[in-house]
Amino acid sequence: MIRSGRRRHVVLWVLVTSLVGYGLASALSVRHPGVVPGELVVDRAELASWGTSVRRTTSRNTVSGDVWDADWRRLEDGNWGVVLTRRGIPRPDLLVYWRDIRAVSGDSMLEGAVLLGAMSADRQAAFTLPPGANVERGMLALYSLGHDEIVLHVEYPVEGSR
Amino acid sequence: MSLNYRAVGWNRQKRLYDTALVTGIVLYLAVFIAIGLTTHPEASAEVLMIRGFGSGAFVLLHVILAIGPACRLAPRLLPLLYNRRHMGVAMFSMALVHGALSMLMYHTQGDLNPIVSLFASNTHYDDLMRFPFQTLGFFALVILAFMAATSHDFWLANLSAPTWKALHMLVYVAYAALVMHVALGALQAESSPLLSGFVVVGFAGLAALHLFAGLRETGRRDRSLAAPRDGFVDVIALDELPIDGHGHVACLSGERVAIFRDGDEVFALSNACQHQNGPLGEGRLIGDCVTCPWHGYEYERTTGVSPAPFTESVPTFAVELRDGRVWIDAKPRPARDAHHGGEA
Repeated sequence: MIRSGRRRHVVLWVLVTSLVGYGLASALSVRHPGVVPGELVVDRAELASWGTSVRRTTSRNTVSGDVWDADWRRLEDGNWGVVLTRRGIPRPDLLVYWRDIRAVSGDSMLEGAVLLGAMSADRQAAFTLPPGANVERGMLALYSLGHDEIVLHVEYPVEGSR
Repeated sequence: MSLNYRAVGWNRQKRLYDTALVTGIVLYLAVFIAIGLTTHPEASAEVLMIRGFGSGAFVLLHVILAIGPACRLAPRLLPLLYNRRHMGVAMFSMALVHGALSMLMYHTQGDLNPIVSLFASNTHYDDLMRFPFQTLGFFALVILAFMAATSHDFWLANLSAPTWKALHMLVYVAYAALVMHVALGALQAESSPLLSGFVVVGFAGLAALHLFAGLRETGRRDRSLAAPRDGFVDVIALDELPIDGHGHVACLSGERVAIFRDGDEVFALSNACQHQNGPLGEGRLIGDCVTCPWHGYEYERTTGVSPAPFTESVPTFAVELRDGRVWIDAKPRPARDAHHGGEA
Protein backbone atom coordinates (compact mmCIF):
# COMPACT_ATOMS: atom_id res chain seq x y z
CA MET A 1 0.00 0.00 0.00
CA ILE A 2 2.81 2.37 0.87
CA ARG A 3 4.71 1.60 -2.32
CA SER A 4 1.55 2.13 -4.37
CA GLY A 5 1.16 5.50 -2.67
CA ARG A 6 4.75 6.28 -3.53
CA ARG A 7 4.18 5.35 -7.18
CA ARG A 8 1.10 7.60 -7.24
CA HIS A 9 3.24 10.36 -5.80
CA VAL A 10 5.86 9.90 -8.53
CA VAL A 11 3.28 9.84 -11.35
CA LEU A 12 1.55 12.95 -10.01
CA TRP A 13 4.81 14.81 -9.58
CA VAL A 14 6.00 13.96 -13.10
CA LEU A 15 2.66 15.10 -14.51
CA VAL A 16 2.65 18.34 -12.54
CA THR A 17 6.27 19.10 -13.36
CA SER A 18 5.70 18.53 -17.08
CA LEU A 19 2.49 20.54 -17.23
CA VAL A 20 3.75 23.42 -15.10
CA GLY A 21 7.04 23.53 -17.00
CA TYR A 22 5.20 23.76 -20.30
CA GLY A 23 2.66 26.24 -18.95
CA LEU A 24 5.31 28.45 -17.37
CA ALA A 25 7.36 28.54 -20.56
CA SER A 26 4.26 29.35 -22.60
CA ALA A 27 3.19 32.10 -20.21
CA LEU A 28 6.64 33.69 -20.27
CA SER A 29 6.81 33.48 -24.05
CA VAL A 30 3.65 35.59 -24.43
CA ARG A 31 4.67 37.94 -21.64
CA HIS A 32 4.05 41.55 -22.55
CA PRO A 33 5.93 43.90 -20.30
CA GLY A 34 5.51 46.63 -22.85
CA VAL A 35 2.47 47.54 -24.90
CA VAL A 36 -0.64 45.45 -24.41
CA PRO A 37 -3.56 45.35 -26.75
CA GLY A 38 -7.00 45.41 -25.22
CA GLU A 39 -10.39 44.97 -26.80
CA LEU A 40 -10.70 48.64 -27.64
CA VAL A 41 -7.01 49.07 -28.31
CA VAL A 42 -4.89 48.78 -31.42
CA ASP A 43 -2.81 45.68 -31.94
CA ARG A 44 0.66 45.84 -30.44
CA ALA A 45 2.37 44.87 -33.66
CA GLU A 46 0.71 47.77 -35.45
CA LEU A 47 1.45 50.36 -32.79
CA ALA A 48 4.69 51.67 -34.29
CA SER A 49 2.97 52.54 -37.52
CA TRP A 50 -0.27 53.60 -35.87
CA GLY A 51 -0.85 57.18 -37.03
CA THR A 52 1.62 60.03 -36.68
CA SER A 53 2.91 61.21 -33.34
CA VAL A 54 2.00 64.88 -32.85
CA ARG A 55 2.73 65.64 -29.20
CA ARG A 56 4.04 63.86 -26.14
CA THR A 57 2.87 65.01 -22.74
CA THR A 58 3.40 63.98 -19.14
CA SER A 59 0.65 64.34 -16.55
CA ARG A 60 1.01 63.79 -12.85
CA ASN A 61 -1.12 63.84 -9.76
CA THR A 62 1.12 65.17 -7.03
CA VAL A 63 -1.15 63.83 -4.30
CA SER A 64 -1.57 60.25 -5.45
CA GLY A 65 1.77 60.09 -7.23
CA ASP A 66 0.26 58.83 -10.50
CA VAL A 67 2.41 59.77 -13.48
CA TRP A 68 1.35 59.06 -17.05
CA ASP A 69 2.91 59.77 -20.43
CA ALA A 70 0.62 60.37 -23.37
CA ASP A 71 1.63 60.14 -27.01
CA TRP A 72 -1.04 61.97 -29.03
CA ARG A 73 -1.32 60.70 -32.58
CA ARG A 74 -3.18 61.81 -35.65
CA LEU A 75 -4.58 58.76 -37.39
CA GLU A 76 -4.91 58.17 -41.13
CA ASP A 77 -8.68 58.65 -41.05
CA GLY A 78 -8.22 62.10 -39.50
CA ASN A 79 -9.28 61.04 -36.01
CA TRP A 80 -7.08 61.12 -32.93
CA GLY A 81 -5.48 58.34 -30.98
CA VAL A 82 -3.44 58.32 -27.81
CA VAL A 83 -0.89 55.90 -26.39
CA LEU A 84 -0.89 55.97 -22.59
CA THR A 85 2.13 54.76 -20.63
CA ARG A 86 2.07 54.49 -16.89
CA ARG A 87 5.05 54.88 -14.60
CA GLY A 88 5.40 53.09 -11.29
CA ILE A 89 3.21 50.24 -10.13
CA PRO A 90 0.07 49.43 -12.09
CA ARG A 91 -3.39 50.40 -10.99
CA PRO A 92 -5.36 47.30 -11.89
CA ASP A 93 -8.79 48.84 -12.20
CA LEU A 94 -8.44 51.92 -14.38
CA LEU A 95 -11.05 52.88 -16.96
CA VAL A 96 -10.14 55.47 -19.57
CA TYR A 97 -12.84 58.00 -20.51
CA TRP A 98 -12.93 60.82 -23.03
CA ARG A 99 -14.78 63.98 -22.11
CA ASP A 100 -15.45 66.56 -24.81
CA ILE A 101 -15.48 69.55 -22.51
CA ARG A 102 -12.70 70.60 -20.17
CA ALA A 103 -12.90 72.16 -16.72
CA VAL A 104 -15.72 70.03 -15.42
CA SER A 105 -16.06 69.74 -11.69
CA GLY A 106 -15.28 66.45 -9.91
CA ASP A 107 -18.59 64.70 -9.41
CA SER A 108 -20.03 65.41 -12.81
CA MET A 109 -16.78 64.59 -14.58
CA LEU A 110 -17.98 61.34 -16.09
CA GLU A 111 -21.40 62.57 -17.16
CA GLY A 112 -21.54 62.34 -20.92
CA ALA A 113 -18.03 60.94 -21.04
CA VAL A 114 -17.19 58.19 -23.52
CA LEU A 115 -15.59 55.03 -22.25
CA LEU A 116 -12.53 54.27 -24.37
CA GLY A 117 -11.39 51.11 -22.60
CA ALA A 118 -9.68 49.66 -19.58
CA MET A 119 -6.02 49.85 -18.65
CA SER A 120 -6.25 46.93 -16.21
CA ALA A 121 -2.73 46.27 -14.93
CA ASP A 122 -1.00 46.97 -18.21
CA ARG A 123 1.92 49.31 -18.55
CA GLN A 124 0.92 50.77 -21.87
CA ALA A 125 -2.14 50.78 -24.09
CA ALA A 126 -3.49 52.74 -27.03
CA PHE A 127 -6.95 54.17 -27.45
CA THR A 128 -8.80 55.72 -30.34
CA LEU A 129 -10.66 58.90 -29.44
CA PRO A 130 -14.29 59.23 -30.58
CA PRO A 131 -14.66 60.40 -34.23
CA GLY A 132 -14.53 64.16 -34.45
CA ALA A 133 -13.07 64.60 -30.98
CA ASN A 134 -11.25 67.92 -30.55
CA VAL A 135 -8.16 67.23 -28.46
CA GLU A 136 -7.79 70.88 -27.49
CA ARG A 137 -11.28 71.00 -26.02
CA GLY A 138 -11.59 67.66 -24.29
CA MET A 139 -9.51 65.51 -22.02
CA LEU A 140 -8.92 61.98 -20.87
CA ALA A 141 -10.07 60.90 -17.44
CA LEU A 142 -8.41 57.96 -15.75
CA TYR A 143 -11.02 56.57 -13.41
CA SER A 144 -10.34 54.04 -10.64
CA LEU A 145 -13.30 51.73 -10.35
CA GLY A 146 -12.10 50.33 -7.04
CA HIS A 147 -11.65 53.69 -5.38
CA ASP A 148 -14.47 55.36 -7.30
CA GLU A 149 -12.38 58.38 -8.13
CA ILE A 150 -10.67 60.03 -11.03
CA VAL A 151 -6.98 59.58 -10.38
CA LEU A 152 -5.76 61.80 -13.21
CA HIS A 153 -6.83 64.09 -16.04
CA VAL A 154 -4.70 63.92 -19.17
CA GLU A 155 -4.97 66.93 -21.45
CA TYR A 156 -3.56 67.79 -24.82
CA PRO A 157 -1.75 71.14 -24.48
CA VAL A 158 -3.49 74.00 -26.19
CA GLU A 159 -1.18 75.79 -28.63
CA GLY A 160 0.65 78.67 -26.98
CA SER A 161 -0.38 77.66 -23.48
CA ARG A 162 2.88 75.85 -22.71
CA MET B 1 1.72 11.87 20.20
CA SER B 2 -1.79 12.39 21.52
CA LEU B 3 -4.63 10.14 22.58
CA ASN B 4 -7.58 12.50 22.56
CA TYR B 5 -8.50 14.96 19.84
CA ARG B 6 -7.71 18.48 20.81
CA ALA B 7 -7.52 21.54 18.58
CA VAL B 8 -3.76 21.53 19.00
CA GLY B 9 -1.81 19.26 21.30
CA TRP B 10 0.65 21.91 22.33
CA ASN B 11 4.12 21.07 23.50
CA ARG B 12 7.38 23.00 23.70
CA GLN B 13 8.50 22.01 20.21
CA LYS B 14 5.25 23.14 18.63
CA ARG B 15 5.38 26.45 20.47
CA LEU B 16 8.94 27.05 19.30
CA TYR B 17 8.07 25.98 15.76
CA ASP B 18 5.01 28.20 15.56
CA THR B 19 6.79 31.15 17.15
CA ALA B 20 9.54 30.91 14.54
CA LEU B 21 6.92 30.50 11.79
CA VAL B 22 4.85 33.52 12.81
CA THR B 23 7.98 35.61 13.36
CA GLY B 24 9.20 34.70 9.89
CA ILE B 25 5.86 35.62 8.31
CA VAL B 26 5.65 38.96 10.12
CA LEU B 27 9.25 39.78 9.19
CA TYR B 28 8.61 38.89 5.54
CA LEU B 29 5.53 41.09 5.37
CA ALA B 30 7.33 43.96 7.11
CA VAL B 31 10.33 43.78 4.78
CA PHE B 32 8.09 43.40 1.71
CA ILE B 33 5.96 46.41 2.61
CA ALA B 34 9.00 48.50 3.56
CA ILE B 35 10.70 47.76 0.22
CA GLY B 36 7.41 48.32 -1.61
CA LEU B 37 6.90 51.71 0.02
CA THR B 38 10.48 52.68 -0.81
CA THR B 39 10.52 51.60 -4.44
CA HIS B 40 6.86 52.39 -5.18
CA PRO B 41 5.82 55.26 -2.89
CA GLU B 42 2.66 55.68 -4.93
CA ALA B 43 1.48 52.16 -4.11
CA SER B 44 -1.71 51.91 -2.09
CA ALA B 45 -1.84 49.94 1.15
CA GLU B 46 -4.28 47.45 -0.41
CA VAL B 47 -1.97 46.65 -3.32
CA LEU B 48 1.03 46.19 -1.04
CA MET B 49 -0.91 43.88 1.25
CA ILE B 50 -2.33 41.86 -1.63
CA ARG B 51 1.14 41.39 -3.07
CA GLY B 52 2.80 40.83 0.29
CA PHE B 53 0.39 38.12 1.46
CA GLY B 54 0.23 36.52 -2.01
CA SER B 55 3.97 36.34 -2.51
CA GLY B 56 4.48 35.22 1.09
CA ALA B 57 2.04 32.33 0.66
CA PHE B 58 3.72 31.36 -2.62
CA VAL B 59 7.17 31.33 -1.04
CA LEU B 60 5.88 29.37 1.97
CA LEU B 61 4.30 26.77 -0.34
CA HIS B 62 7.71 26.23 -1.95
CA VAL B 63 9.25 25.75 1.49
CA ILE B 64 6.53 23.26 2.46
CA LEU B 65 6.98 21.23 -0.72
CA ALA B 66 10.76 21.28 -0.31
CA ILE B 67 10.76 19.97 3.27
CA GLY B 68 9.81 16.38 2.34
CA PRO B 69 12.58 15.66 -0.18
CA ALA B 70 15.07 17.79 1.75
CA CYS B 71 14.54 15.59 4.82
CA ARG B 72 15.18 12.48 2.72
CA LEU B 73 18.49 13.95 1.65
CA ALA B 74 19.47 15.55 4.96
CA PRO B 75 17.86 13.92 8.05
CA ARG B 76 19.09 16.80 10.21
CA LEU B 77 16.23 18.83 8.69
CA LEU B 78 13.62 16.48 10.19
CA PRO B 79 12.62 19.01 12.89
CA LEU B 80 11.19 21.12 10.05
CA LEU B 81 8.87 18.27 9.12
CA TYR B 82 7.62 17.80 12.67
CA ASN B 83 4.99 20.53 12.49
CA ARG B 84 4.68 21.01 8.74
CA ARG B 85 0.90 20.98 8.94
CA HIS B 86 0.96 24.21 10.95
CA MET B 87 3.09 25.70 8.19
CA GLY B 88 0.47 24.56 5.68
CA VAL B 89 -2.35 26.16 7.64
CA ALA B 90 -0.31 29.38 7.97
CA MET B 91 0.29 29.35 4.21
CA PHE B 92 -3.43 28.87 3.57
CA SER B 93 -4.24 31.75 5.93
CA MET B 94 -1.91 34.06 4.00
CA ALA B 95 -3.41 32.93 0.69
CA LEU B 96 -6.89 33.51 2.11
CA VAL B 97 -6.03 37.10 3.08
CA HIS B 98 -4.58 37.64 -0.40
CA GLY B 99 -7.72 36.22 -2.03
CA ALA B 100 -10.12 38.10 0.22
CA LEU B 101 -8.38 41.45 -0.33
CA SER B 102 -8.26 40.83 -4.09
CA MET B 103 -11.96 40.01 -4.20
CA LEU B 104 -12.73 43.06 -2.08
CA MET B 105 -10.69 45.36 -4.30
CA TYR B 106 -11.54 44.04 -7.74
CA HIS B 107 -14.91 42.31 -7.51
CA THR B 108 -17.08 44.06 -4.96
CA GLN B 109 -17.59 47.42 -6.64
CA GLY B 110 -20.12 46.34 -9.22
CA ASP B 111 -23.65 44.96 -9.26
CA LEU B 112 -22.57 41.35 -9.65
CA ASN B 113 -22.03 38.88 -6.87
CA PRO B 114 -18.22 38.92 -6.32
CA ILE B 115 -17.93 35.18 -7.06
CA VAL B 116 -19.95 35.61 -10.27
CA SER B 117 -17.84 38.63 -11.13
CA LEU B 118 -14.69 36.57 -10.66
CA PHE B 119 -15.79 34.09 -13.30
CA ALA B 120 -17.72 36.45 -15.58
CA SER B 121 -15.48 39.50 -15.80
CA ASN B 122 -12.88 37.77 -17.93
CA THR B 123 -13.73 34.78 -20.10
CA HIS B 124 -10.70 34.74 -22.40
CA TYR B 125 -9.89 31.13 -21.64
CA ASP B 126 -8.66 30.69 -25.20
CA ASP B 127 -6.10 33.48 -24.98
CA LEU B 128 -2.96 32.85 -22.94
CA MET B 129 -2.10 36.55 -22.83
CA ARG B 130 -5.45 37.55 -21.35
CA PHE B 131 -6.19 34.33 -19.53
CA PRO B 132 -8.40 34.80 -16.44
CA PHE B 133 -5.62 33.97 -14.00
CA GLN B 134 -7.71 34.87 -10.96
CA THR B 135 -9.84 31.76 -11.40
CA LEU B 136 -6.68 29.62 -11.14
CA GLY B 137 -5.92 31.25 -7.80
CA PHE B 138 -9.50 30.68 -6.67
CA PHE B 139 -9.38 26.95 -7.46
CA ALA B 140 -6.02 26.63 -5.70
CA LEU B 141 -7.48 28.38 -2.66
CA VAL B 142 -10.41 25.93 -2.59
CA ILE B 143 -7.97 22.99 -2.58
CA LEU B 144 -5.84 24.58 0.12
CA ALA B 145 -8.97 25.24 2.20
CA PHE B 146 -9.92 21.56 1.94
CA MET B 147 -6.44 20.53 2.98
CA ALA B 148 -6.31 22.97 5.89
CA ALA B 149 -9.73 21.80 7.09
CA THR B 150 -8.65 18.13 7.02
CA SER B 151 -5.17 18.67 8.42
CA HIS B 152 -6.11 17.67 11.96
CA ASP B 153 -5.25 14.24 13.40
CA PHE B 154 -8.99 13.54 13.64
CA TRP B 155 -9.18 13.28 9.86
CA LEU B 156 -5.85 11.51 9.62
CA ALA B 157 -7.00 8.78 12.00
CA ASN B 158 -10.48 8.39 10.57
CA LEU B 159 -9.53 8.49 6.89
CA SER B 160 -6.43 6.28 7.50
CA ALA B 161 -2.97 7.54 6.69
CA PRO B 162 -2.81 6.23 3.08
CA THR B 163 -6.17 7.80 2.15
CA TRP B 164 -5.32 11.04 3.92
CA LYS B 165 -1.95 11.23 2.19
CA ALA B 166 -3.52 10.46 -1.20
CA LEU B 167 -6.04 13.29 -0.70
CA HIS B 168 -3.32 15.66 0.41
CA MET B 169 -1.38 15.04 -2.79
CA LEU B 170 -3.87 17.55 -4.17
CA VAL B 171 -1.31 20.08 -2.96
CA TYR B 172 0.54 19.42 -6.23
CA VAL B 173 -2.58 20.36 -8.22
CA ALA B 174 -2.86 23.52 -6.11
CA TYR B 175 0.82 24.26 -6.71
CA ALA B 176 0.41 23.87 -10.48
CA ALA B 177 -2.59 26.21 -10.43
CA LEU B 178 -0.69 28.76 -8.33
CA VAL B 179 2.39 28.79 -10.57
CA MET B 180 0.14 29.47 -13.56
CA HIS B 181 -1.84 32.03 -11.50
CA VAL B 182 1.41 33.94 -10.94
CA ALA B 183 2.79 33.38 -14.45
CA LEU B 184 -0.38 34.51 -16.20
CA GLY B 185 -1.09 37.25 -13.68
CA ALA B 186 1.68 39.14 -11.93
CA LEU B 187 4.41 38.17 -14.40
CA GLN B 188 2.43 39.43 -17.38
CA ALA B 189 2.49 43.03 -16.23
CA GLU B 190 5.95 42.94 -14.68
CA SER B 191 8.70 44.48 -16.78
CA SER B 192 11.57 43.41 -14.53
CA PRO B 193 12.93 39.91 -15.19
CA LEU B 194 13.61 39.50 -11.47
CA LEU B 195 10.18 38.19 -10.55
CA SER B 196 10.10 35.78 -13.50
CA GLY B 197 13.55 34.60 -12.49
CA PHE B 198 12.39 33.88 -8.92
CA VAL B 199 9.41 31.87 -10.15
CA VAL B 200 11.47 29.85 -12.64
CA VAL B 201 14.23 29.16 -10.11
CA GLY B 202 11.67 28.19 -7.45
CA PHE B 203 9.90 25.77 -9.76
CA ALA B 204 13.10 24.29 -11.22
CA GLY B 205 14.68 23.95 -7.78
CA LEU B 206 11.65 22.19 -6.36
CA ALA B 207 11.44 19.84 -9.35
CA ALA B 208 15.15 19.00 -9.12
CA LEU B 209 14.95 18.44 -5.35
CA HIS B 210 12.06 15.98 -5.72
CA LEU B 211 13.74 14.22 -8.65
CA PHE B 212 17.06 13.86 -6.85
CA ALA B 213 15.48 12.63 -3.61
CA GLY B 214 13.24 10.21 -5.52
CA LEU B 215 16.08 8.72 -7.55
CA ARG B 216 18.29 8.32 -4.53
CA GLU B 217 15.48 6.79 -2.51
CA THR B 218 14.59 4.24 -5.18
CA GLY B 219 18.17 3.15 -5.67
CA ARG B 220 18.88 2.86 -1.98
CA ARG B 221 15.78 1.27 -0.56
CA ASP B 222 13.94 -0.79 -3.13
CA ARG B 223 16.59 -3.22 -4.31
CA SER B 224 15.08 -6.67 -4.76
CA LEU B 225 16.25 -9.27 -2.29
CA ALA B 226 16.82 -12.93 -3.12
CA ALA B 227 13.75 -15.14 -3.40
CA PRO B 228 12.57 -16.48 -0.03
CA ARG B 229 13.64 -19.89 1.22
CA ASP B 230 11.17 -21.54 3.61
CA GLY B 231 9.36 -18.24 3.66
CA PHE B 232 12.43 -16.46 5.05
CA VAL B 233 14.63 -14.01 3.15
CA ASP B 234 18.35 -13.46 3.70
CA VAL B 235 18.41 -9.71 4.40
CA ILE B 236 21.75 -8.63 5.83
CA ALA B 237 24.73 -9.77 7.87
CA LEU B 238 24.22 -9.22 11.59
CA ASP B 239 27.46 -7.26 11.80
CA GLU B 240 26.22 -4.78 9.24
CA LEU B 241 23.24 -3.72 11.36
CA PRO B 242 23.80 -0.55 13.37
CA ILE B 243 24.20 -1.10 17.10
CA ASP B 244 23.60 2.49 18.16
CA GLY B 245 19.80 2.34 17.95
CA HIS B 246 19.55 3.34 14.31
CA GLY B 247 17.67 1.04 11.95
CA HIS B 248 18.10 -0.58 8.58
CA VAL B 249 15.45 -0.62 5.85
CA ALA B 250 14.95 -3.53 3.48
CA CYS B 251 12.30 -4.33 0.90
CA LEU B 252 10.29 -7.55 1.47
CA SER B 253 7.01 -8.67 -0.10
CA GLY B 254 6.82 -5.43 -2.00
CA GLU B 255 6.92 -3.29 1.14
CA ARG B 256 9.64 -1.85 3.30
CA VAL B 257 10.65 -3.34 6.62
CA ALA B 258 12.41 -1.54 9.46
CA ILE B 259 15.08 -3.68 11.14
CA PHE B 260 16.69 -2.84 14.49
CA ARG B 261 19.42 -4.53 16.52
CA ASP B 262 19.85 -4.58 20.26
CA GLY B 263 22.96 -6.64 21.10
CA ASP B 264 22.37 -10.01 19.50
CA GLU B 265 18.63 -9.52 19.20
CA VAL B 266 17.07 -8.31 15.96
CA PHE B 267 13.57 -6.94 15.49
CA ALA B 268 11.64 -6.23 12.31
CA LEU B 269 8.55 -4.05 11.93
CA SER B 270 6.65 -2.51 9.06
CA ASN B 271 8.47 0.63 7.99
CA ALA B 272 5.25 2.69 7.80
CA CYS B 273 4.21 4.53 10.95
CA GLN B 274 0.45 4.40 11.52
CA HIS B 275 0.26 8.13 12.08
CA GLN B 276 1.43 9.59 8.77
CA ASN B 277 3.26 6.60 7.27
CA GLY B 278 6.55 8.08 8.39
CA PRO B 279 9.68 5.90 7.89
CA LEU B 280 10.14 3.97 11.15
CA GLY B 281 13.42 2.53 9.86
CA GLU B 282 14.89 6.02 9.93
CA GLY B 283 13.88 6.42 13.56
CA ARG B 284 15.62 5.14 16.68
CA LEU B 285 15.29 2.18 18.98
CA ILE B 286 14.94 3.84 22.37
CA GLY B 287 14.50 1.42 25.26
CA ASP B 288 11.94 -1.13 24.17
CA CYS B 289 10.31 1.10 21.58
CA VAL B 290 11.00 2.12 18.01
CA THR B 291 10.38 5.85 17.67
CA CYS B 292 9.18 7.42 14.41
CA PRO B 293 11.47 10.25 13.26
CA TRP B 294 8.60 12.41 12.07
CA HIS B 295 6.36 12.91 15.10
CA GLY B 296 7.73 10.63 17.80
CA TYR B 297 5.08 7.88 17.64
CA GLU B 298 6.38 4.80 19.47
CA TYR B 299 5.96 1.06 18.87
CA GLU B 300 7.08 -1.78 21.15
CA ARG B 301 9.87 -3.55 19.30
CA THR B 302 8.56 -7.12 19.56
CA THR B 303 4.79 -6.60 19.33
CA GLY B 304 4.60 -3.46 17.19
CA VAL B 305 2.05 -2.03 19.64
CA SER B 306 2.21 1.51 21.00
CA PRO B 307 2.64 1.72 24.76
CA ALA B 308 -0.55 2.37 26.75
CA PRO B 309 -2.65 4.45 26.64
CA PHE B 310 -1.98 4.80 22.93
CA THR B 311 -3.61 2.38 20.52
CA GLU B 312 -1.57 2.42 17.30
CA SER B 313 0.11 -0.76 16.11
CA VAL B 314 2.14 -1.89 13.10
CA PRO B 315 2.77 -5.37 11.63
CA THR B 316 5.92 -7.17 12.75
CA PHE B 317 8.06 -9.84 11.10
CA ALA B 318 9.57 -13.08 12.44
CA VAL B 319 13.38 -12.94 12.53
CA GLU B 320 15.95 -15.77 12.57
CA LEU B 321 19.73 -15.56 12.82
CA ARG B 322 21.49 -18.13 10.62
CA ASP B 323 25.27 -18.27 10.35
CA GLY B 324 25.73 -14.66 11.32
CA ARG B 325 23.10 -13.42 8.89
CA VAL B 326 19.62 -11.99 9.50
CA TRP B 327 16.74 -13.90 7.91
CA ILE B 328 13.27 -12.37 7.98
CA ASP B 329 9.92 -14.01 7.26
CA ALA B 330 8.57 -12.38 4.10
CA LYS B 331 5.04 -12.73 5.43
CA PRO B 332 4.22 -10.10 8.06
CA ARG B 333 2.44 -10.86 11.27
CA PRO B 334 -0.72 -8.73 11.24
CA ALA B 335 -0.82 -5.65 13.41
CA ARG B 336 -2.16 -6.49 16.85
CA ASP B 337 -5.20 -5.03 18.48
CA ALA B 338 -3.37 -2.86 20.97
CA HIS B 339 -3.45 -4.08 24.57
CA HIS B 340 -5.95 -6.83 23.85
CA GLY B 341 -3.53 -9.30 22.36
CA GLY B 342 -5.60 -10.12 19.26
CA GLU B 343 -5.05 -9.06 15.70
CA ALA B 344 -6.36 -5.70 14.65
